[in-house]
Amino acid sequence: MTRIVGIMFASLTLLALGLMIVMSASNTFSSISNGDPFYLFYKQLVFVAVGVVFLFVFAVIPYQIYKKVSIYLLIAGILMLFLTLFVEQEVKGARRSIDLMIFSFQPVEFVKLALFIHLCAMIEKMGDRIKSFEKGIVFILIWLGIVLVILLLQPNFSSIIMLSGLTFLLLFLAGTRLKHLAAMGLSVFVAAGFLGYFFLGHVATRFDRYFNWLFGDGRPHSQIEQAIVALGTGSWQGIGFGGSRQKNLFLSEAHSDFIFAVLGEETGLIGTLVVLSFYLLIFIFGMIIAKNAKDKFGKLLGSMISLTIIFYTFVNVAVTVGIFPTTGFALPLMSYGGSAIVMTCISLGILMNIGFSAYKEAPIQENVLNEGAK
Amino acid sequence: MQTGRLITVAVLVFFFFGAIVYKLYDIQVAKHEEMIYKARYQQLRTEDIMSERGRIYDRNNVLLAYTKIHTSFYVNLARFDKDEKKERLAERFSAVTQRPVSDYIAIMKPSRGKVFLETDVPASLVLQLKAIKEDGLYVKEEHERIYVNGRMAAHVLGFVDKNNRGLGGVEKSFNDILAGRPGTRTILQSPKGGLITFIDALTRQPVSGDDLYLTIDGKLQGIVESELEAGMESGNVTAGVAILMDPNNGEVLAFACKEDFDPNNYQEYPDSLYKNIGVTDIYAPGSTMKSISIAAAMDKNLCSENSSVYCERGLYKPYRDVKIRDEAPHTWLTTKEILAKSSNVGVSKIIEKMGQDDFYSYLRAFGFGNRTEIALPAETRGSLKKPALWSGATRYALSYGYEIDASPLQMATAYSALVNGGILYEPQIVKKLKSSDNNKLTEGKPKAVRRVIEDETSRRMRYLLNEVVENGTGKGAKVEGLKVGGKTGTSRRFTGSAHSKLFYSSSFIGFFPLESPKYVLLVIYGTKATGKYHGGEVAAPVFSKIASKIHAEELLKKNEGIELKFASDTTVSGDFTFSENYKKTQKQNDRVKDFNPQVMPDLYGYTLREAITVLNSLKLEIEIAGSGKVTKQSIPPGGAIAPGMKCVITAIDSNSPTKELY
Repeated sequence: MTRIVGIMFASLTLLALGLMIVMSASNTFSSISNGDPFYLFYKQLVFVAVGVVFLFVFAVIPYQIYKKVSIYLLIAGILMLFLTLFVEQEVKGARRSIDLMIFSFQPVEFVKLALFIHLCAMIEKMGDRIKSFEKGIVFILIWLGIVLVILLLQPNFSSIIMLSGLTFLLLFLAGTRLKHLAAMGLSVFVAAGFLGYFFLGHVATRFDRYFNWLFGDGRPHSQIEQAIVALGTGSWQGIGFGGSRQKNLFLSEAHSDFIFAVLGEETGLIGTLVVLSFYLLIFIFGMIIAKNAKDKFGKLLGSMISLTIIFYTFVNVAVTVGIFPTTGFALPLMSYGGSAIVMTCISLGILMNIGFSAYKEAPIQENVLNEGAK
Repeated sequence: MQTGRLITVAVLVFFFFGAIVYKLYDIQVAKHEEMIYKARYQQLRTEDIMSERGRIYDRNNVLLAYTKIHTSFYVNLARFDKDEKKERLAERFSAVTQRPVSDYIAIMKPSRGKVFLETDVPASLVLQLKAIKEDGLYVKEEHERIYVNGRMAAHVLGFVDKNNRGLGGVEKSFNDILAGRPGTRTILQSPKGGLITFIDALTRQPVSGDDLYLTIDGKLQGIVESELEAGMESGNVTAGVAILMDPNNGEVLAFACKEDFDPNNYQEYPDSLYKNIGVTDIYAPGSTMKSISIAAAMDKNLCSENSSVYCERGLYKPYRDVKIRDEAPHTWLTTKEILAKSSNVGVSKIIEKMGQDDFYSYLRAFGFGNRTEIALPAETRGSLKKPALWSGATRYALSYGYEIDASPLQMATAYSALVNGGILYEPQIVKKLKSSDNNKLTEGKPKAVRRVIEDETSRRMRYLLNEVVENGTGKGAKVEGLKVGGKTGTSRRFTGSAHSKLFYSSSFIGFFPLESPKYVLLVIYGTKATGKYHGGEVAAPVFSKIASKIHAEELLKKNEGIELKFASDTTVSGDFTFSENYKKTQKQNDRVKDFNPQVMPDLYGYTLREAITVLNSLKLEIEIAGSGKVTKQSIPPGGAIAPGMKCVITAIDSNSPTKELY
């Protein structure tokens, strides 16, 4: 039970903390773009409220249900993703969202979850066939391939890498042969790297700049530079909630992709480490839940949800501190953005349910037995 | 699911976590100083807050110049894009100013840009309007220097430019005292330099300037100016200077130059009119010098009132090619007559008896060749050659005022010494200062420079000079009911390479009352030979008019028994004169005050020079990086310090990217 309460506690804390930082970080941007300094904060408040409701709703829906509907969820997701190519206007050169009047929805967030649910269900069904390439792995790759092709058209290179990487980890956990993994890993990453580098302009420039900074004497992306200034201003204790100055348009996307920088500026190293520890807590408890799950689907899905959250967190932070080039990934649970908040909450709800079901069956019976013995 | 693979993945995650924690520590703690520096550099900007300039009064506490602050309120419409916000502001303004709300709404109609809601707000409303705080509403204060009497005493007062900098007269020479110390405001700015907010904790309030009380008497200044101007109506006069001094302490009571300008709108006048030619320009004193020469000779007992000299019938040739001429062929003249008739030959022959070095010493003692050290800008020292450079003719020329150049002020100062009992006083233009923070008055003391001639010589000279007015060239200077003395002077003006026969300096320098002079008055005109140009004809009558008006004024005052006394608050008699003070304050800076020697002060925003002075006074070892204003100090403000500790200060030039406050 500790794990489930722990995950719930950590998630709600991060959501609340995220709200506070969004309130501060979006302040200047909101007042300039909208006039009301709390415009984005109020929207985020709604997202978080919806997210918390979903968190609890999905915590009580038995997760085995998804096995049966996963294929439909994934197809629906892929269709929505496909729609973005036609319906939406470009934001910074990419078409990624659908405007649903109230807020714009990013199908990739949904597809991410639907894909892993379906892949986990498939792997469970396959059983030992996963050790074979032609009879097992190839079906996984087909689904992944379909998603990646659409993402390539959006284009959304960061998500391609992330989904490929996470699928790779899934296959690793699922017990595929290492030689298959090695062969795939090499070919996919090399191919994807070349594709991205040579066909997508913005990826090439980002990487050029990144490698130039890493190995040459060039300068990092100005966004990252500003993020580092924000972090560095924080020192140990930070300058206090709401005190960020970098949010005053020096740091663009202060309330979304670079919210961690504002966190660091306002709460210092203590704040950033506490927040990272909460994510790590979610990961550790999630992995323990996964390990103790009753079926292979639960085990795989539980670890995939934990891994997804921790990897998105790490990549976001790694970008903020300048280890990675900019990706456009939100910080789970904290960054401004409805789709990401709601989908992360749903994932966590599912994870909690996996935890519950392990309890419901085994421990209760043990108790009965124990009482009988007395 | 294999536990081994699970652990592998977990280890991967922990490794990643470790890398991020290391990087975070590196940025947030290890590089904190560097990042703070970068952040401050881009986020903050300082801006000066103008200090209120001190007022200038005359010696009787009559206001001559003050600074008026024009307060305007404007809004940045980009921050007022909601109608409710506009209405709210309009209502609040309307409540104070009683202007209809619709007026303000109409002003704020455009969607972008900067509009003024109120300009030049009356002082009674300023505080109320300033109390309205709204994002995007700003206050602008403009300082206007007002010279109450327009052109009056323009050359003494000077003028002030838009940046509160004195550019002439006492406004310039006492700029540091009058200007006060501007404050600074630290602005939190956006990347494009826009104002986000003021950081109140870093604001340094401005310190108002001190008030200045001049030695000038407004009433006498008015008399002198109007008469000087009236004397120019004849038409062949190009310029005029009049100086009225109290010979007993060197205080300048009136100082007028024509043409003049209105310091309220100085830009509308040519630059050439700005300078106070009575201080900055030189002329050959001509015959007015004869009284100085005779006083020197009389002081050395080389002549007396009635000792005679043969005047060679108007042409004296001490050397073959040196010719000294008189306008009339005089024969034997007494010293008294020489002065009265202004004989060049006579005075030459008297000075002939004196050693060159002695004569030179007297001239130096009277102040020639040295600045008078009056506290007015750009003073000339005139010119007086050393005896080693003299030719045979030089001492003759000097005796009647050629081969020497003096400023009108130098002449007035010398004549003061001539008639006041023989003591040369440094001329003063400022009587007292009133400090802006405690209303303390600091009064200047007269500064006696040296004794030039014996008291008795001075007394005898007064009678000789009276004779000039009674029976000599200075008859035009006579004043009914008042005994005056003085000397005329008419000298060719040096134009380029030679002394002109067309342009003259026509002067009269006199004093009154005869027995115990209270006033020395110099009147000089630049004249052309096309009309009257003799000092006795041009300048002496003006002297007479001024003197008689002043005399009348004095009688009036005596009859009414009014004596204007200054309502003194706390008078401190400083043991200094204002010219010394003036020089000292040139470099003095109030910001560099006393600091507790054990506690590190906050130097943020100081100039490097100020910071170095402070650190020196605290006996700290200094290391400097950068230039401009201090942004960083290695010992944090409030930290404990001891002499000999090392402090690194970093400065950046915040002025380089000029950014506009919208």
